[in-house]
Amino acid sequence: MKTRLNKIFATIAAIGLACVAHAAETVKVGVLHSLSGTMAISETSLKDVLLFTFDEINKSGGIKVGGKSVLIEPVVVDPASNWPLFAEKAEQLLVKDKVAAVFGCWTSVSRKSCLPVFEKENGLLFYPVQYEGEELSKNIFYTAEAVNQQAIPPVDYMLAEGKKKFYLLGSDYVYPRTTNKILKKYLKMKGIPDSDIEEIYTPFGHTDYQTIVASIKSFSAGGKACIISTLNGDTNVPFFKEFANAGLTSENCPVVSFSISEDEFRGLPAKQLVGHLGCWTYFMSIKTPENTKFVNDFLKWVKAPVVTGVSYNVSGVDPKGRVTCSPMNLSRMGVYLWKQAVEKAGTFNVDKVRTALIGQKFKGPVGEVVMQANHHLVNNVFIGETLASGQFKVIKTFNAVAGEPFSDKFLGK
Amino acid sequence: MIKFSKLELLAVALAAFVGLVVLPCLNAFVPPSSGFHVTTFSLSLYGKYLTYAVLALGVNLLWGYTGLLSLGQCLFFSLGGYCLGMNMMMNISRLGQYHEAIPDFMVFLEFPARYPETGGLPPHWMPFKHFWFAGLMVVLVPAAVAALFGWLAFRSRIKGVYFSILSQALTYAACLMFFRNDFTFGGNNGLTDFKFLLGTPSLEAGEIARPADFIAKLSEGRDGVSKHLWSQIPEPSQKRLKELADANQGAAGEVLLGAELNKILATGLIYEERRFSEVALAPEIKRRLGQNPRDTGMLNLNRDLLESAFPQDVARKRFQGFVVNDPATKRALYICSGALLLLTYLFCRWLTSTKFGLIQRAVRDSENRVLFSGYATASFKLFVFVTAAVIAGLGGALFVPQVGIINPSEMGADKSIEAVIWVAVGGRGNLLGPILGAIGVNSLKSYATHSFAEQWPYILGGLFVFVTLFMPKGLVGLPSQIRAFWSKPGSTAADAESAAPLKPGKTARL
Repeated sequence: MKTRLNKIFATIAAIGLACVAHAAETVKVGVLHSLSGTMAISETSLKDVLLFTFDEINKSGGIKVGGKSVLIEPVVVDPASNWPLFAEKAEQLLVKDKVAAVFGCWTSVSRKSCLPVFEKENGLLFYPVQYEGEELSKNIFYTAEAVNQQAIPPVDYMLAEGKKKFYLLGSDYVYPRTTNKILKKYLKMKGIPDSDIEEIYTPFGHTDYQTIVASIKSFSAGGKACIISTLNGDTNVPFFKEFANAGLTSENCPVVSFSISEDEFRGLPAKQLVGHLGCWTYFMSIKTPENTKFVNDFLKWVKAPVVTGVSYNVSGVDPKGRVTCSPMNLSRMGVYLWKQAVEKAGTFNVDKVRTALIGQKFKGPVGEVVMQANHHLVNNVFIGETLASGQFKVIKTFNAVAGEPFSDKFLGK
Repeated sequence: MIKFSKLELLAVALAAFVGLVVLPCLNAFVPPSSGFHVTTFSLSLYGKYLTYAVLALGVNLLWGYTGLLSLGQCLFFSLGGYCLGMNMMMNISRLGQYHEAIPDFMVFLEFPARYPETGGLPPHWMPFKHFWFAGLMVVLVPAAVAALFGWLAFRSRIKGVYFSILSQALTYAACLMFFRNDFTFGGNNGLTDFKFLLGTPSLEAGEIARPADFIAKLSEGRDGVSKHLWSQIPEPSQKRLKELADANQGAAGEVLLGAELNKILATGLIYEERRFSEVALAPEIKRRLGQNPRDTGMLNLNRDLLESAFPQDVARKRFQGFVVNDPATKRALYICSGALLLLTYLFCRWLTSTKFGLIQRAVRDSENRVLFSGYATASFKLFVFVTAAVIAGLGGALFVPQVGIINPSEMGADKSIEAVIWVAVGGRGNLLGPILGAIGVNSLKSYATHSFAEQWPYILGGLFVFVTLFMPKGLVGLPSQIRAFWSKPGSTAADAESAAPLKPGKTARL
């Protein structure tokens, strides 16, 4: 009953605000995340957090441009985990809807698919998911973690912990390949010989980890070994199961996973991962007033999702078991950085906003970020230990790590 | 010769006129402010649908006319796409992210260490430098794969649902193979970031006539353009270039100078009025300068400017290819897709109206009888299978430059099943149905994923279920179905007359 009353009040308030805001101008902003297909499980959360952020901004008066308040009107499309469709939808958003900016993409291939469209139409894309770097488009802002923000810190940590042997395990696609290539170079620089580095790739959705775990067992026999995992999605379940069955634990052979965040644990049993490590620029468990507010507001929002002030019907938001995670935080911060840049530039003009974005600072839930001239963020990096609840306990913090997309810049040729 | 009824001739001519003449003209000549203007985005989208329609015609030739339900047609579609995609990757040449002579993904996968003798390019990529070769492969590769698979399958008399499953397995296996980075086709990301079609403005090996002299000329800065170009080259490279020129090591000098000049060509327009005051520019170049082109258009223009400024040093490229994202190129690709669809339609129309077509349908309706009448049905089926693969390959080749990416997920079994659904929705066993189905379903998908982003799978899924249950002959069969319903209340759709008679039980079966 209480929730229903709340809903009614919320609706009344929304209608009231809509009436007040009726005079306000709106600006269209694109949301380009797969809501169906294989990537929907990850990307839907990003769509949710984007709508939540638009609601947050609209509630607090929208974007102030040239003395006016402009409310954000979302245009949500579904590229359906279909890469050519990403390009089509991106073009539709830019050409037909004339959106001022687009927030979206998860996989690198989806980003690569729509990159030429953003360059041709001179659009703006904010990309929030950790990726392999080696790319810099003037039309894309990468709020995501670059390799030197997600892969290098845990390796440093492992080296400091006295680990001497590194087993690089990944799904066979570009992100793990490139990350591991960079890590191998980095490890060599740190004096780890080739014989102590193993590199293995498995196909997507691989389930048979018996031989690999056996080889890990013999590899880690002398102790001082760790695993850097870039395994993606479902395939983690059989891997960690087999890993535990073989008697390996986080004590004798810790695994650092780069692709498992709090949101993945909604569909992945955390039990077998307890004690293993993750590395992100955000954890839900970090206690700061800003983060507590973000988490609470978001969890409240998913129960009665609306975008205040504009006629947009929010649907498909799952209210159960919701969490926040790094890509979600980076999505949200992307919106705020864009908002600030628009306010600074006093216009939605892409070229002017792009210039204004450089040097833009935002105090996020877990620390301040700065947008650099290379379109990547300076951000805090955290290493966390997995808990049975699917949360992470921070065990190490690296402050203000500057994202750098090109590995030769931080490794040297 | 094909015998057309007057109505059909009129319809085909009208559709071809509207599709191939009116729409492109509305795009090219009507100003964007007008309500009749067709945007390049829409035209390019229609072009994509047309290539899908070509694929659907191939599926229909197999399923509707020969009774072979192939769930792997997208393999051939993708193979055609990959062949042309490889050529377009080669056209990027030294203008990619890393300014190396090989495609970007080969650079970061460290192919130069794997294929040192070719500078990183896998040997089987080399002939794809030539468009004619890639074009030939667009036809030959799908044909060869289809011939091999078909020969094995039909010789063993694999048919019905077993053939469907095998074809699905084939495309899935290929998909997994292409996913692997070691397979040298770009792995999961596939081929993307195409810039030019049919040529490249990049300065390639052998295009600088006397590298040592050219380096000297640039470093002395005799004119405005030389001064500007030299100032853009970073200092270490300047030093190295001078050393190479002094030592008269032209070949090494050319590689470095080529790389540096390509970087400059890709960074920004090199033109400035004062800088080019002594250079005679062709009126055509002046016209393009006025348009202030961006990105790849700018690259093309830069190359022309460079050639005009140094006619003795830089080789004249007669033809630098089309800029893939240029509206004119998009229009041309759309027209090509339309023309391909028309030709495929006419070909299928001809094939099915010949004696061959009769045997084809006989194979569909009762293969054993045809076999016992003394026809080698396996050879007939093999021919149709190879033909459909070639049709799919051609469609794929035109699909790729219009959408700008080809990757293994296009080979997934789901994509092939989608193609079968288009044919089922449009109506199989005739030539209009698949075209209607492909264009209709994809238009609906484009519309619904935008306007009903959350609900569209239900809309499309509901449509498919409805069509399968209540419209066994698809959209094309709808008029006769309605007629039958009105004239004989209580009769079923299957009793209705149609151009391609199907037994009642057959329609429900895959």
